[in-house]
Amino acid sequence: MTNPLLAQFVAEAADLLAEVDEGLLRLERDPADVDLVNAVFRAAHTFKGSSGLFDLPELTRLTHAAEDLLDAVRSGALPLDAEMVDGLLAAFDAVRAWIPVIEATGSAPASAAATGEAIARRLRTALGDDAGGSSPVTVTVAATPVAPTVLAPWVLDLGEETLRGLLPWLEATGASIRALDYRPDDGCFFRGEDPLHLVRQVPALEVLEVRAPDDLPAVTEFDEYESVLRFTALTRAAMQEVQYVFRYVPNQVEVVEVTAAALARLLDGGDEAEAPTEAEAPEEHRVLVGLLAAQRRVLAAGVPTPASVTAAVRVALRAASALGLSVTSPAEGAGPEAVLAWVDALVAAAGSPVVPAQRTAPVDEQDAGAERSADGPVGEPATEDATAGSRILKIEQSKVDRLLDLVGELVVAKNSLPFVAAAAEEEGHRVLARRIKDEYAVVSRVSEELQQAVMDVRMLPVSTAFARAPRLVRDLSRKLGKRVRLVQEGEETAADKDVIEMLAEPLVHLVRNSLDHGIEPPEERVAAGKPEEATLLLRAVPDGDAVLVEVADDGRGIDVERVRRKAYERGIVEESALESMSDAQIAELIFAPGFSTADQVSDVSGRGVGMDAVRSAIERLGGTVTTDSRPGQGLTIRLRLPLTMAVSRVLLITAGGQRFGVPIDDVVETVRTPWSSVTRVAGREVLVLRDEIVPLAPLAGLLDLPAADRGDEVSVLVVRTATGPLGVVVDRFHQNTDVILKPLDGLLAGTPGYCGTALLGDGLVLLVLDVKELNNRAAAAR
Amino acid sequence: MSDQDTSRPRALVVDDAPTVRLYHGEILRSAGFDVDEAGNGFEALELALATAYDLLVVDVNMPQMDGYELLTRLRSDEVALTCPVVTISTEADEPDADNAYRAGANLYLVKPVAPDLLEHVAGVLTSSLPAPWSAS
Amino acid sequence: MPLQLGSRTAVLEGTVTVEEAEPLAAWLRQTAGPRVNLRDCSHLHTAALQALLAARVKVSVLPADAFLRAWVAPLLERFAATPDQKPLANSSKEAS
Repeated sequence: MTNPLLAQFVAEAADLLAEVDEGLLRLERDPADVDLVNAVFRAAHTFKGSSGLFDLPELTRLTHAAEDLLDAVRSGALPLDAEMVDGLLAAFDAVRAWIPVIEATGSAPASAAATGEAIARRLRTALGDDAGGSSPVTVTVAATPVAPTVLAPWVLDLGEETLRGLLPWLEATGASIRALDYRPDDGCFFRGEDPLHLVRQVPALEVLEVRAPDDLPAVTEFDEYESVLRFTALTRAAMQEVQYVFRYVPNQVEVVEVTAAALARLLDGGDEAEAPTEAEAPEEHRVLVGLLAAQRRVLAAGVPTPASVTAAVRVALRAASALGLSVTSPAEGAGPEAVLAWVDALVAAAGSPVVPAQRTAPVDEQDAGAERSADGPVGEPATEDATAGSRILKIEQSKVDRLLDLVGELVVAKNSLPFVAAAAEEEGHRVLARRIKDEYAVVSRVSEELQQAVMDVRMLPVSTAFARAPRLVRDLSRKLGKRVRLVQEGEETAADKDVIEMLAEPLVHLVRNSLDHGIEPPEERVAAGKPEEATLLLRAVPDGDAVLVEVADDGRGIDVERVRRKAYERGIVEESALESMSDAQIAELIFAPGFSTADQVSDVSGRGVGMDAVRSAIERLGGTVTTDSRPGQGLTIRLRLPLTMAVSRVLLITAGGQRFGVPIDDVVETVRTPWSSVTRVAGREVLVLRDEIVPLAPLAGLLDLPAADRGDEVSVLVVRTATGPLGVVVDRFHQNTDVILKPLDGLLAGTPGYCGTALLGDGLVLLVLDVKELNNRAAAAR
Repeated sequence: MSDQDTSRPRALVVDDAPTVRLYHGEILRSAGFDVDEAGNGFEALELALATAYDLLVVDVNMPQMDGYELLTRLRSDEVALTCPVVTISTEADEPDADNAYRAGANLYLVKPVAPDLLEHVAGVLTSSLPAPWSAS
Repeated sequence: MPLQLGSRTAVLEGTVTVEEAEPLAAWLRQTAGPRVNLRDCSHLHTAALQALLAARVKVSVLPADAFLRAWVAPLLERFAATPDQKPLANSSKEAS
């Protein structure tokens, strides 16, 4: 297999060299040609990638240097000059000279290392000198070779088992992790240092070992002012982040980059080769555990699409079964959070120490806490354990929904009681009628309380919706090179499950938006006299029958001028209208469809989803979105959400070929009867029901819709109105359903006859009828 | 020697570098896969839409449509491709791995990938599912 | 008041600073089988942590704070399970 592959490489090399030569020469004449720079960069990149398949380190190193230089040119950090072109041409000339030797012998000529090194240095000099402080370039250059090949022995203090478990993940992902050893000196307390406090500032801690000396004296002989502890930790935070935390005590701390190769060498006692013979099985095991760990990253990363979730679950199932774990699939249709928990359990079962990205698993940890504190309840006031010990019963959602259905039916049944009372009264049973009315009041109150109690069961803490934020903020801030502290407040505030679940998505978007657009890079913050580290606050506050959720940052706020310009450019608002708008009104335009302040779609908040999507998601919940922008000081976006979804139960009906909803509270009964039982009284069609005259009105007629053909039977929806029962003639009845009623807006705003719209499960918008208005129309038609 | 033996798993290797494509393709062929190759993201997108692959091996860094974008499209609600995807990159940087996982990759490997690693992973990723999990 | 020192249990609340390490250590010295309730403790100065470790205190209520709960409470529990270097005459072993 080596031969055809090498032949392919030689052929590819010839093509690439021709491309580079021509490109470089044309570039020298026209250095501004972006496409050309790109083409040459790509050729160098491809060269590097392909050469990596062979044992050709000289070639890889040299093409890597050329790639870095071209990348700097491509990104605009470095203008291409003649000298650089010379260097690049020399590099590819050298490669051209090596190729025949490589073709013949499989490796580069002996002189290649020295020649290549000299040219690579020349390229790097151009990069270093002229690029000045341009950080992305310097980082790329520096990032590759930093990991020390030999790890300090203290890394072993983290526990061999822990480290071995980490290895497959590092190997499978090619990632690295940082290990730190912090040895505060004896007198550090006197200088006002608190080592534990510093350690807790380290972001993304994976493992923390606190070590006390073996001869830690008993407390009686102990000098509490002499610092004796030592801290060893693993973190996924970047090197600079860790160094920043310990910037005032650099000589007490050591931080190293841990790569898979270096770690393997440390664990296997300095032997370059993999541990012999029995390494076969563990190696496969590592790959499988690595695969599992990779799936949890898919699920924890941003907002995975359903297809991504399915793919991840399938891969996790395969890896788990290859590991010989007994596996049950996650529940069908389980959300990403549930699937993530499922994968976490598999990773744990596979024996990996890869710690879940978030340590905020309140329920599990509370359970564990309850167990542990139950161990030794000696002389402890019982109340102290009360919070940890509150008992939790897990109930399937479908059972709760069934309860809610029954409550709905109870409400309908209850609503018929006043009519029974009226009938009793008419028949002369006044005492009975009074008692029925009294009972009605009681049943009414109890059913309302019952409904409330069932809704309470569905309450979840807002922390569920906040759960993705810590990881998101960490990943994004690293990616964007910003320093952001996430503060969460009021996570225990509860709201209905549906509200919480639908809140998660918009929150993710708002957090992204804040990090991407609101929060400035550290230099800009310092220049503006702000702390380098930005604060992003997620806060939930109960507010009557609503919950306020705030996403507040101390970034730039909304740049009103810029919004004004964009709104004009994108044709969102007429120029004349813009002039008369207040700053606050203009700031609101960020929610307009088609508006995006990012000059280009960034891959952070890009993907075509705008703030308008956030607003419409919140409004779908029956909530509102407001902004409070303080230019230069920050932006607060305030979501006001109903505590419970304003769930209304409606009866679905068809009339005039369209579907409508009628609030179930207004419905007395539904009747199907032969047309022959309809009589006319005073020129109107009426139905006599239990000795009561119910005037009929065709719904199609009231709504100016085409009337359906009359069949043998008539479907009458009897509704309760201020002037007595009304029989609304409809085409057909359907089922009852819970909907979230939204007021009419947009084109429909102010249309009489409807009390709102609702989105049905099948995605259709349902118009919900206003019975009072229907009655008015029926009366007017008389 | 049938080319289209339906019992053999099918894989698509996407890379703009022919040598790398051949390398990954050969590893998979010798592991018993029927392998198609695509030299860019667009070609890959077309092939993946037309063929039910059991595995995709995708280079991250390609011109015009890179691996992330290809993957994001394949995993989008419109396409909803659920077959396992291995992404391969020259960069060992964490952010690149993060991007790949966010786009829906099931594994991020750094070039050059050892043949037995790719073979092992490909085998596991296309093994029969223990309990079919049907997603909506 | 971040420190409430009872007959056997100390309740630590909020941020326990270096100044509080001394009264805490003094209390630990004179208390047999000491226990700490960390529920509302949000941070513990290293000096106070050392004193708790040296006294092999038992944690009676786990801290709500995520960092303390994840890293510090298990450490205290591990230490409580190891015997004192030099057991005190009348306090160290007690039937639980």
